[in-house]
Amino acid sequence: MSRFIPNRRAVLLGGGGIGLLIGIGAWRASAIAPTLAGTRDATGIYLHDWIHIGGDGQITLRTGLSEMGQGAFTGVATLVAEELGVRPNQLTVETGPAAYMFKNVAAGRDFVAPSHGLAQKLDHSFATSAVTFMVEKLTQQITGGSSSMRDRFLSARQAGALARILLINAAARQWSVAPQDCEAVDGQIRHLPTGKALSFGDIAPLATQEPLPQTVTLKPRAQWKLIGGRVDRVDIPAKINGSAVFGIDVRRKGMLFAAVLHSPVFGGKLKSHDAQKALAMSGVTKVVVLEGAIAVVAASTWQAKRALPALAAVWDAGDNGALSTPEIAQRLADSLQNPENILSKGDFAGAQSRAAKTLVSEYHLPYLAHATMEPMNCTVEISDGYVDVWVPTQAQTVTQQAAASAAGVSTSKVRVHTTYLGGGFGRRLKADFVTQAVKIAVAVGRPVQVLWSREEDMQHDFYRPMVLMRLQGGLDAAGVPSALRIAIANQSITGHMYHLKNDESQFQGAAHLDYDIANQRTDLGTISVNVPVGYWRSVGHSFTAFGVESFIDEMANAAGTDPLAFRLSILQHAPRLVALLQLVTQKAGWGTPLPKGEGRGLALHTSFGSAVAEVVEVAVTGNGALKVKRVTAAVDCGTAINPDIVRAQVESAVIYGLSAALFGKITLKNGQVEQQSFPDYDVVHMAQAPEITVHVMQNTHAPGGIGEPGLPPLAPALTNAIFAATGKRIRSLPLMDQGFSA
Amino acid sequence: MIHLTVNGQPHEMEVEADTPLLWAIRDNLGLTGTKFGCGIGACGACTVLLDGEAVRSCTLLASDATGKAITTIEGLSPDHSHPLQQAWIAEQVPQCGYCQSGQIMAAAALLHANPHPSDAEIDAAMTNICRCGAYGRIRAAIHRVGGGT
Repeated sequence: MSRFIPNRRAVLLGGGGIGLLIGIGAWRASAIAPTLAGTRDATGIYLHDWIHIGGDGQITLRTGLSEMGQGAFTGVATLVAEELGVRPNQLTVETGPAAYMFKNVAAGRDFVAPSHGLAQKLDHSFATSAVTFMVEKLTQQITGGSSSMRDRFLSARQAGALARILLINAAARQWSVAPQDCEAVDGQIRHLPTGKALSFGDIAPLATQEPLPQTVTLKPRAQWKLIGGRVDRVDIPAKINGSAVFGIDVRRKGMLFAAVLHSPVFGGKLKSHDAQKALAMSGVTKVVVLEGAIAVVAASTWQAKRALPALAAVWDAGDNGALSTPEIAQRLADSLQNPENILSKGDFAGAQSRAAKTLVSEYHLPYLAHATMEPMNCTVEISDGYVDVWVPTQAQTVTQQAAASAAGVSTSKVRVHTTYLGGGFGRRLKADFVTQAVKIAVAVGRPVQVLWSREEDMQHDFYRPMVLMRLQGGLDAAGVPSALRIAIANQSITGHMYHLKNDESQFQGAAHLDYDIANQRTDLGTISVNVPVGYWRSVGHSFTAFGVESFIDEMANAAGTDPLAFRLSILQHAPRLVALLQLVTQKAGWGTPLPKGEGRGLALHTSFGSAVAEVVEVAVTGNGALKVKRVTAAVDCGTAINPDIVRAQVESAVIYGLSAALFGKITLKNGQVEQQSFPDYDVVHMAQAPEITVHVMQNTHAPGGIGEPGLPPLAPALTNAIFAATGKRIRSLPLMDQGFSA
Repeated sequence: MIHLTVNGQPHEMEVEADTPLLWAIRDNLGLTGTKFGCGIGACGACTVLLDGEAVRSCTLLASDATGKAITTIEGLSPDHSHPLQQAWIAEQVPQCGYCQSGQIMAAAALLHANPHPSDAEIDAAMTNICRCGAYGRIRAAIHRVGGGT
């Protein structure tokens, strides 16, 4: 939609020198005017973001998005700036307050859906995954699901264009000239015939008086100067001189610092502790007993941390004291005895019985922690009846609700201030640490910052679920795959929260495959176990891609066909995916000879509206020493708003996925997570990081997501490469438990 | 009472004898550019320079830093003019950015000791963790300053 009809209520008139205020995405819903400084909410408002142009020429883009490294601030600034006629770094981008105005409320459903049109074509499963995700998303203000640019590709440009037209019309009226002779460039409106100019700041107050145009026409693609080009990230300058404020950098007058100890066993309770000994230590002001945790509050972070051992906390493990990983593995296997059917296409059983060759394989994946660089933290100040929360969060309204509940106030009394996030990866969609911080602040009566240790962060995460996948396949006499059954067993992430029978995150990426195989079925076994699980970068795709893309390789091998040719033969209906595979394999030198002990592996996966294919090249020596030499990736994410950020996100997903594939596992023994910190939950360091090359397909489709889609293909491409190099098929991760070192 | 010289400025402070330098810098001096990541010297988010050498300030006692020149990210160059900061912009290195203060300080120490490091020397010296996986760009930015490829 390059033309749209604006609604009067989309333009939010600011009095008192506030300037021109425009809500992005407002014009389809019944918007009312919030003030820039305020937090006024109203039911029915649907605003992603605000653009404010002040009388001083300062342009502020207050977005509902969190910036956690994925480049959302730069992306949305680019979209607005493209139409508005400014440089993206002329915009001050900040995360707005938690509010209905940023919520993707149900009224926005039709507004969100059209931009996912491509997604539905690219990823058949997206339609259903969107339903599950949107249940959460539409009722909460969250940054996740690789959705930011998909949601804003149209609306942010529309808002920028509307602002530009109002500014041009106001200037033209002032000069008594024709608006079509004026243009917006670098924060000015210029009259082309005479060269005279007015700054946005001078015109903004007049622009608020302008009648709305009948229609607003977006710039045609050919005139884009920013979208698709090099635009430097707007958040980088603050991230190279120490000035960027993360959650742990928040400072309030008179604030105290809290350190926390949780029950080592999930669901355990505090049996006894010695508060006096801790209180006698320097700087300590309070000991606060919480649900399943205990906190020391002190004048400094270190004073709080060093007093925790003095508490001599003793815990009652409760019902989970005997829970260990082997028991969970057994329960996963048991759940596949009688699984629930998710999808059935053709006749799997019949086709399998007629197959010339059949295969069955099981794949095992562990729980994984997010291990964001910045451990969980939250700063709270309660005064004048308001609860102010400073927090690195992906979920502002979830935070607001948690804080309100913990403080016993209404959500209108909670003000959420989002800092930069030192990593998110899905962990910061939860607000457990917010609840805790508010309760401590209530108990202490002073501003307080709660900061978890690395050990607490690792042992009290909401983990990527542990997974068992069993795949069965059949090849006909010609070596063509005729049957495929995928059975998955794991825990539900959202089922218990939303009372959904099927939690899409349990099988996304394994129900509607990219591949054309005539007879398919997907079955699901669900276990209920008291281990907290949550969204982990690429969610269900992080495990389904491993099973499916490993098994496709196994079928190719059984058919005696090259893995690339095998995949191409079952993708004839999907020309974009064929082009992607051809690009990545050509760039990676697929088929060219390698020395003994080296190999290349290929994997392809579609998620969050984008498709990514990766070729991993490895060298393995006799003693299992594994060198991941290079990763070549090709991405079809539709229109790449910022190709360098697309490349950076795929590089990031490759390293995040590689860390998990090589080292990542969270295990339980006697109800307690065994890993504590980076030495025993190791991650890729510089010396292990492969050379990564990312090729971005150029096309004119609507944008797909990019924060997550680079991750799913990495692990199977890696293990497929190990198979190519050694003939050893890896079906369990991490690799360090399979005789490899890196 | 201990005396610390941070970014050329002398400071006096009262801290417990077991206080790590990290917390003296962050909580006592209010310089929050240096980050906490693990507290056991494993991740490097807390890296600062001690007489030009990279140290992990979370496991170094503040009292052991007395009499030495401590440099934090704030002391490198607040206006982004340091060659490493320029290279970090040119290569668009940071994503979440949380580890980048430590990465930049580790790179500063490396280039101070070895102005033209090879890839292997970068691998050996740059052991800080980046969960966003910006390693390739960090390497490129160091080479940009060190003249390597």
